[in-house]
Amino acid sequence: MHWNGTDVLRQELKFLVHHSVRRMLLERWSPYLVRAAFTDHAARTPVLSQYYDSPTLSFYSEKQDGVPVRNKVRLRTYATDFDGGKVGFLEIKHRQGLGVLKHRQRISDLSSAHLCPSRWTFDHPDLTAKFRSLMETYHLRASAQTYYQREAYEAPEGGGLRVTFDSSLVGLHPGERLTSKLLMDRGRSLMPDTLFILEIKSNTTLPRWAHDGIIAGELEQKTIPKYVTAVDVLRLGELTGTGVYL
Amino acid sequence: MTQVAANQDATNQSVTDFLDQLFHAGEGDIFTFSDIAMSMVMSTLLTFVIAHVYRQTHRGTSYSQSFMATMFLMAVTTSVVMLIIGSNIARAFSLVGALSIIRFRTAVKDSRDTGYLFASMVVGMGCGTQFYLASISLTAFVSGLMLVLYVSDYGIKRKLENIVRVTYTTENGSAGGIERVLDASYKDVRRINRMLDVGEAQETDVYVVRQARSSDAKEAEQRLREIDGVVNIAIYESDQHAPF
Repeated sequence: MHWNGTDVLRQELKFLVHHSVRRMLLERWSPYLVRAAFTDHAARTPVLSQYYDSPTLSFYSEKQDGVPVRNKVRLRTYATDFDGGKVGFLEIKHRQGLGVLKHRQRISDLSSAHLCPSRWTFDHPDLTAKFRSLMETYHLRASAQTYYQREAYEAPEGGGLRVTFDSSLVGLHPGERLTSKLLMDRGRSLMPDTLFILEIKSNTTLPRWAHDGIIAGELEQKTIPKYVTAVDVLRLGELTGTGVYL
Repeated sequence: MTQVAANQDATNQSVTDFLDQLFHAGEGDIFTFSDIAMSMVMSTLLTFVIAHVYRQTHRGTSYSQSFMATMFLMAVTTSVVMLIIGSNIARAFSLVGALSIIRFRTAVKDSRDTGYLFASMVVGMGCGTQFYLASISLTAFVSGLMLVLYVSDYGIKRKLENIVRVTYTTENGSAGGIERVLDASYKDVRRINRMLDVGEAQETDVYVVRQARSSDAKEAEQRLREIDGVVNIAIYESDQHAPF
């Protein structure tokens, strides 16, 4: 595993856009964007994330309550399962108001053992401290999985600008495998087919062309919080009498 | 003995005065216990109607039982707050200061929810100021209005837009046939997404189509099923999915 953490505070803008707006934006932005390196010919990649939370779903509640400084802990892979041999990333996504700080541990030999927090190892002491602190404070355990299809583009001009459109968002229980039947199940779907989650991420300021597209599409900052919606759809928020989800 | 009895009477009188002061201080005989009970019961009953309409007309995934309880709490509390304030300006200003320490951090997900909370608060205000007729009228009108808006799907966009999801095995080359059937059965067929294969050698295409006639939709579904390699079909009306 390799330490790949970054302490750059990124700016994230999120919008919920209709498919017609997505098409308009892609036409408009095509001179400035190229397909992201890790995607297929249609700029698509699967994104599967296993989220970890406390037994009382503290991270879920903090997001619901709009706590300005909050965390999410997840294991992410750009594939449709966590089977061995793939590359995965253990991540702490730390939000401070509008900024997002991501602490990331790359796992080059992903296996199902990495799904268990007690088996996590880290290369860098600083990263170990950050993860251990959250693990001990929140008694982290697997809470929900999310799967979605990401269409990813990046700006070759630099600045770390990335534009993504997420769709086919599905909520899964921990350990549950994604199947085409589950993908078709509207009870697991976290968003309508006609909508896409547009995310614009940048390490610097937003370029003029991106700003003009946001104005042209009359976009308002609104999104579907993936983890929170998965918890809602999977009904994990229905607590037991002990205040602990089953 | 007489002196002792007189002292006892004086003590009893002062206790009675104290209790009177305790329970009736500030009321100035403006309201009685029956007024309090009446306003609380009325606000509860009227909120029950509003809450029932809320539950019946709710769409989406954000339904919460605690939100229902909040509506009742708001209405009943507001009714008593209004009774306490009465027409006393000093009390009104004091309450503004006192209540400002309460900070609601929970985000209300749907603007419609805010409207329902406000309606239950106004019902509480009406009951607290004993404008029962106004509260009953508001409840009846708001409930009727929300039911009409719900039944008529007022404000919905693209009502005739349907979603067609078709899953097919990739080796049969079914995509062309699927598009031909959709073009023949619907107006304005647009493929908006193609889902990634999840290791079963299948593709799922998502189309937005404009509905022609309901009989065509059934026929289209049948013709899609007859295409070699088609595994699954789902046709949804645009308003069948929960709004976000």
